[in-house]
Amino acid sequence: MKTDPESIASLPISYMVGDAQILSAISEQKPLPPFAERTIELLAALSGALRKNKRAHAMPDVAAFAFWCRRAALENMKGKYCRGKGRRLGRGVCIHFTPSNIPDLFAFSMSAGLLSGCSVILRLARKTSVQEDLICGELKELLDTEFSDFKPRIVLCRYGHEKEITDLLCSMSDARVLWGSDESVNDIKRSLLPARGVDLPFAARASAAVISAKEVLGTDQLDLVAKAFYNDTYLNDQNACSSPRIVYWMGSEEDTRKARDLFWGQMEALLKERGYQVPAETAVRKLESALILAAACGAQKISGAGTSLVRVQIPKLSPQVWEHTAAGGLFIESRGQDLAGLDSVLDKTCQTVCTVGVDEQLIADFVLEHRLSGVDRIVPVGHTLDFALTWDGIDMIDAMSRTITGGR
Amino acid sequence: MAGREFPFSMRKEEKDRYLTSELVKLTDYHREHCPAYRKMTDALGCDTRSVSHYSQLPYLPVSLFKQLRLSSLEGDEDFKTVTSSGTSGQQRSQIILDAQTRTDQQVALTRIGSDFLGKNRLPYLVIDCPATIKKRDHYSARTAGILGFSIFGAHRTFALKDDMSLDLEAVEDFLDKYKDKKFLIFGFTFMVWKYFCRELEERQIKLDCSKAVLLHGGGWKKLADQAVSKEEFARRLKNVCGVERVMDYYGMTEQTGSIYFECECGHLHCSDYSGIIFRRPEDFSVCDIGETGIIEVLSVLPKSYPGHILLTEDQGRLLGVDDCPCGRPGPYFEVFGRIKNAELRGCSDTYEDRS
Repeated sequence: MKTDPESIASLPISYMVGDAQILSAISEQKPLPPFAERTIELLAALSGALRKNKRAHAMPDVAAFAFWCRRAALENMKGKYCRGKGRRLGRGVCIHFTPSNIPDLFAFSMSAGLLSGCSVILRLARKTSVQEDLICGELKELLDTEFSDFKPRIVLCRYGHEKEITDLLCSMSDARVLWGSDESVNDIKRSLLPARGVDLPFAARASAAVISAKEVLGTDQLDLVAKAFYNDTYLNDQNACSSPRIVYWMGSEEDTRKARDLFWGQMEALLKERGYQVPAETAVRKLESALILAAACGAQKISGAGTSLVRVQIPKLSPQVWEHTAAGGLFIESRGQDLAGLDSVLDKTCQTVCTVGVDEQLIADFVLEHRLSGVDRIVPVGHTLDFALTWDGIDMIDAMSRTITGGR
Repeated sequence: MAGREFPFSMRKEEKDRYLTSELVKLTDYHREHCPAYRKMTDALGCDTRSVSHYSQLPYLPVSLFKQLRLSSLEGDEDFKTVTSSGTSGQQRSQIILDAQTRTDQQVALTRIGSDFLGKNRLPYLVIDCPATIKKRDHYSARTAGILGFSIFGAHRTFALKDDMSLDLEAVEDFLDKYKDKKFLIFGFTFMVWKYFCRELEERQIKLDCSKAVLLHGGGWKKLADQAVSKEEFARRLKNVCGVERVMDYYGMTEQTGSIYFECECGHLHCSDYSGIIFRRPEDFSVCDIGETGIIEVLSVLPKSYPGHILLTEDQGRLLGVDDCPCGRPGPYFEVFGRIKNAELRGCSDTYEDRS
């Protein structure tokens, strides 16, 4: 499709980074190889600027992004990625659609696009955020000064979700990164990419935790485990796709009973200390889910109904439980000596398994051995929200770049 | 209960005893007859033998009736399913009613209504259009209201045409015949405001409804959004049509019959058929008088389905018990509308507004 500057300039798009002219010429930008030195320099400079910014210090998520894209970390990612890879170049233009509820996700998504060697068009969520303000401000500053060579490669914008604009932007793109609910992902997919375009759809998922009862009983650092678990769950109202909603206990019945009391007791104390409060609507929603689990999915016991920590015990898990989970502090619990009792929920819905005192390899082996359709990611407790370039089982760098074969 | 002609007779102590005993009986009954209810209450650790006050009994979120079909009837009993789509055409509630429960609902509604409106049927002007009750596949809260309150009315007349414009001819004709004696006007709060009050104001028409009782319900949310207070609503209505008595009510399809009417002092009242509890969102403990909480509604009527104790998605507060100046004993309260739908953080679900 032809994208003449005048017609793009006439569209109701507001630009946080870049402008209509840059957008209309973005397809002409030449791709870079993945992890090009200049890309690393830009992101490392952004990291440095954010770490120096006083306003950013008060925002743990912005700090986490700055930490993620510091030079040493990028070099490390590069080392891991480039080992054994052939010659590659970015596909061209990648377009990203990011949601509002995780305000700095756009920064990670954009970075992945740049690191793959592509130019980036990114549509921000309707709702603005201070995080966005801050990151865009620093990025703009860099593009206006020492990184002017990257200025024609990055457009961060927002518009009223008009389909005609989405159609046009998608038609200009070679790869598309979609974050959101199934509904919003499918919605955007209605706008066509060019025939060879590739989609990286990151739609709704849910996650589980596997906790060793023995570990909980034996550790002298249960407070740290609880804090890590809090960060995995309550920090995002347990509403991130990687936040565990099912907690599977490994151990004997006796050990599990004791470990449960200890662990949840610690969590309750922590919730009190942090003053975590559930909005009224969520509180009702949680009770509703818990009761449906009892009526239809074999839940035997509901504990803490009406509080910020509601637990539902289900002796035998089934895939249906995923349909009745709720955010904001509802945990479905089950138990077994081994992983067999978890098998039925490690389906396409399940994204991340987070572990406490259980070897990650054990779970990886289990997934492979039983050829399960779910579980893309196994991380220790406290790391479920860490962004990684391989997400939902998709290597984002690979997906947004191409290999050139032949020659030496 | 069936023996009591007077639906506002019990003071606190007697009421607490009566409600506790009736609701324990109903809880046991439904646990025996509705397997899903049994599973849910078992999971909550319900043991009615240890219950000393009805506030300790398990409550089901109203929204559950949109997800589960809950019936306490034997398979072959005769029943009718009433569905309601809340306000915005989302999933509908399914309420299973047999003849007995339906009759009990009618009796309760009639008795409570007559206490406020008198024993005689009143000429009935509906601020809605005829099409609302014709679309039976869309059995909305509006339809339920219009039909339900018909038992207090006669000579039903619709004030709006099907395109929602004011049918001035029909209204004037109605007033010519009935304006000199007491009559009933009913409509949803927002409909009364937008299509009656505002319309009369804009067209600078004055009507004589000074003898009318205007009954309205369905929530203030839309009006509150337009910053119209209860007082403003009443004042402006009086100005355009002279109506003196404006009366709100609170009720839901899931507990038809045991409705809460607003008295002459502007307070919503529990009748002998119903109870009300306000719960704190942080732990569902019971609020003090005057403290805002999530509304739980209790009714002694539901027999064919386990809807006797429900947690709503509305908020309100208890104003007092047994001491309303209107003289009716029992708890009286006010409703503020839906609980706030605070947006959660998280990534995968961009929450749709469910209200």
